[in-house]
Amino acid sequence: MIQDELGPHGLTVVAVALDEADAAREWVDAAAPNYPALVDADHELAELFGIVNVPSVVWVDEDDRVVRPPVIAPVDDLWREFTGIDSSVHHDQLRAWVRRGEPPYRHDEARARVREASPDEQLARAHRRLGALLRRAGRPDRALVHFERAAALAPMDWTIRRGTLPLRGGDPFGPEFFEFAAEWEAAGRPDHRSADRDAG
Amino acid sequence: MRTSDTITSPDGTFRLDPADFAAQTGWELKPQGLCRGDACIPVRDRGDLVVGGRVDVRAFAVLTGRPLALDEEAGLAVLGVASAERAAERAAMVVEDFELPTADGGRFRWSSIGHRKKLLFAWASW
Repeated sequence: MIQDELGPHGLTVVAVALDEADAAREWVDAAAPNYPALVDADHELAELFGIVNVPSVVWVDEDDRVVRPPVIAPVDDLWREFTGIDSSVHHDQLRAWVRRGEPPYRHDEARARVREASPDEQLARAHRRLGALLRRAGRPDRALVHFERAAALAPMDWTIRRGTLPLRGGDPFGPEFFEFAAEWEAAGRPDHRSADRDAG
Repeated sequence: MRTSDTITSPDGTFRLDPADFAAQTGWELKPQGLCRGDACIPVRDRGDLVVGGRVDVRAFAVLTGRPLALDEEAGLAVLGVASAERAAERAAMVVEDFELPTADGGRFRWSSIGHRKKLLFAWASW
C-alpha cells in the first residue's frame, strides 16, 4: 500500500469519496484505512479540481501547490482490460516524486493540464447538487428532474452520468451504465487522461 | 475553495426578503447596492434585481454569472460558482484550506496534514 511505503518519506494519502455518507461508510469500514477518508457528497473537491471520473488523483506539494491536476489512476489492474491503464506506472511516478523530488512534469506543463470550467459544467454541477439535496430531503421525484438536467448538460461526466445512478434507484453496473459507457466510447473516451500516459 | 449557496424559498418565488437573502448568500442590500465585504453591485438601475423590496434570486444569478439550479415546486435552489471564478481558482493551482466530513462521522481539516506531500485520491462506490 502506497501510504505504508511512502508515508515515512513524507506522503499523506487523503481518500475522498464522491458518494453519499452511508454509501462511503460501508466501503471505508471494510477497508479500515490508516489515512484520512473523507466524504464529499456535494462534490466540492471534484468541482474545485475538475474531476469527472474515478478513481482520480491530484498531487499537492508541501506548500499546497498543485503539482499534478487530476488524472485517472486505478489502485490496481483489476479493470485493466477495460481501462487500458497500467497502475504500476502511477506508483513509480509517485515514488520518483516523493523519494527523489522529481515531478512528472514542469509547473507550466502541469498548468496546461488544468481543466477549463465551462458555464455548462458549472450549471450541471449545480443541478447534480440540487438533485442530491432534494433526494436527501425526501423528494426523489424532483431529484430525478435535476439529475437528468445535469446529465444533459454534461453528458460525458462519469460523476454525473454514473454517479447519480444509485441516487435514482439505478444500478451502476446495469444497462444504463453500459449504454453510457458505449456513448462515451463512441465519443472517443473524452477526458480519459490517465496517469500512465499523461507524463512526458 | 469557493462553494455554492443553497437557497430555500418556501413560497417558490425565489424573491427573498433582503435579510433572508443576506443570511443565505452573504450579500447584503445596502444604499450603495448589494454588497459582500468590500464588493458591491449597484442596484439602483436594476428594477429586476430588487422587486417590491425583495431580492430576485434569478436576476442575481444572471448579474453575477453564477449558475442557478432551481426547483420551484420544492422551493429549493443551488446557486453555484461562476465558471470564470472557478476557472481562475483552478488556474491558481493552490489548495486553500477546507474542511470536509470523514466517513466515520468526524471532521477533517486539510491544513491538519501540515508540511507534507499529499495524494488526493478521489474514489466512489458506484
